[in-house]
Amino acid sequence: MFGELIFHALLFVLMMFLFITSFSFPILNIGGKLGAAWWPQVVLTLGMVLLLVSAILLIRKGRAAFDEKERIEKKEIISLATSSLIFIVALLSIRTIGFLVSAWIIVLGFMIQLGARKVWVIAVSSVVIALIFSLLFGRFMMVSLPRGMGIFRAISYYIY
Amino acid sequence: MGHILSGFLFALSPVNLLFAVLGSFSGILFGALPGISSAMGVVLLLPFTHGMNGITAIILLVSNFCGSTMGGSTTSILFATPGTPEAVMTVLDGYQLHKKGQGGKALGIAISVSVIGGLISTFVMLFLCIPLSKVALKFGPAEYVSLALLGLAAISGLGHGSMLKTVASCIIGLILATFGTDEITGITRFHFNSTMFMNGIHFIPVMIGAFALSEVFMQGMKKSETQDYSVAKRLKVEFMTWAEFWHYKWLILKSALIGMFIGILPGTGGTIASVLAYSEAARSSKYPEKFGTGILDGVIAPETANNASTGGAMVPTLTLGIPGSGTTAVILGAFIMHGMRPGPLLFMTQPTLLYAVFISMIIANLLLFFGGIYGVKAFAQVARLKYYFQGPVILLLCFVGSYALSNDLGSVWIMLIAGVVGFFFKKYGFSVAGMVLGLVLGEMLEENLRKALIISTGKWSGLFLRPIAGPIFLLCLLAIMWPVIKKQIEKKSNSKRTA
Repeated sequence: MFGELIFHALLFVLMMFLFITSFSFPILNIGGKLGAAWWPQVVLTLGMVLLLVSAILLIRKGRAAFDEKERIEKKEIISLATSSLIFIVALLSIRTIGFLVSAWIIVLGFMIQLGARKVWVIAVSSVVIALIFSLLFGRFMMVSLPRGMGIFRAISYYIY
Repeated sequence: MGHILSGFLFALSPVNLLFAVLGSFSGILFGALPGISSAMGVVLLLPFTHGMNGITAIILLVSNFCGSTMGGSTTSILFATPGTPEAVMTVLDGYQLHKKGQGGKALGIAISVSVIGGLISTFVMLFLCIPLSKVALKFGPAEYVSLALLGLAAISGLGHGSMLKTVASCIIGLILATFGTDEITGITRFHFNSTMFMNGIHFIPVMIGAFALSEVFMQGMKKSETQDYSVAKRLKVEFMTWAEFWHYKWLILKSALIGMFIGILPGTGGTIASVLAYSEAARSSKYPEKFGTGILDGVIAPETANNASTGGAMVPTLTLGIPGSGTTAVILGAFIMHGMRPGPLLFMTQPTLLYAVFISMIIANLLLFFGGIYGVKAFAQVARLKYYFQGPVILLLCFVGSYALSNDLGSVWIMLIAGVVGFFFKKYGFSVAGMVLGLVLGEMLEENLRKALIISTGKWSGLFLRPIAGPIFLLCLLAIMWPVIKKQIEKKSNSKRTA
């Protein structure tokens, strides 16, 4: 129950922050009262009210029914954190190392995360999948994939 | 009639036929690749049309448009990653069907109804394109508001769990749609000095993240060395049978008409068409609670509508010279590039050529049957792999699908955030579908609501007392109230039975 309540609270705080921010939008004559802040304030108010009601109903239900769920959550959150971390590392480094190497990091990381254990399978397939994607989208579909810097940039020109 | 016959003969010439085949097959491939939208597919083919006969070039591009609209469903069903924005609603039930081991059926149905939807709309357009384009011009802001509300009314059918959380999810989608530049005042809202939010939040990265990425995150727990692959091994495309066609005939017809008419309206297109068709299917269904759990109705409605919208989208482009969507804007550009100016004059001066375009669309739609089988087979190979191969492939498709929208890493960050939020949404019973619905329709709703209120000097009555918008608003009210009315009817009939 606590996890779900925290999620409700986080969404509520975020909406409150956006609601306060909306008052800083400049007021122009175009549209009169229906300026840029009007609609966001309407939907944010609705959202906050709904979240409050949902949270109250959750508290009323009590915590007994949620114990089993709570135990599973911890395992899932570790998995989520690891997966997100792999993705974040690849995304943060993509401007330096380019798409090819970032794609390799993602494939390698997730293959291990998803249960692959044979080293040669992981090594070969991570390189092959990253190469296929770079060729398919970078060369044939002409998507301007990030190239990275220095040597990574130079290598990327041979592939896409 | 003579012009239609001449157009038919023109479209059936070997060269035009060959380019219709090339266009539709390449469209299926482009559509199935996330990040390559229908508009982008047409743009990629545009350089190849230099030196071609004008109408042959248009036939190639229009066939590609039809193909890519259908192709988008493949990755939606197999990997929960929509290949094109038009296939966004197909994920909801298509992917669930695949998880149940009915992926082949879902793919076959998607191909079948895409062909049927495309054919219905093209046939209707062949005879009624001019009167229908005049009706479309009568649509003002109030009518667009009523259409958006009708789409949002679908959330009453999407709530498998708590209705309160489903509505809250929809509101979250509407909030996300307010990010970026306000179309009326030009003020940039909620940008936080980051380029990531300045252009607003597009629904594609959110959709990809919330559905596909969160799914891979969840699979991270189940180490796939022990996973059962029998579901993927059974994947065999099964087309719609006559019995199924007869059973779903009204749903197909209704979705095709919705798709066709929404396609005609400028600024809407296949995505809005599929959302509205899905919502209407859920609203009028005898089992709305099953939508989103993996039922064929949830694939039939959006897939019929998005392909039907291709015929509709060509109407304002050809008859008025107004492109209804990004793809038709590129096609309009191709017309001009080849020395033709679409509009009322073109219908008078070169009717045969324009009818040839519609006939080619019919041919392209028929070709989708064959192209669809081979396209699906190629992607089905990936679905047969172990999840530790599939997962990274899905992730890279998610990455490229988000990035290629605007060649911006900001979209990939949004996709990642949506993946994490989607994970918690699924965990705590919020509705990802509701959020996407709000995000897709949010901009259309806000912009037109404000325009309508400005026009009526703030009077809400000006919004409802209109000949087209009024009845649609009534339908919205009925759609929202229907679950309550239905419960009351059931209660009464139960109490009568017990008495």
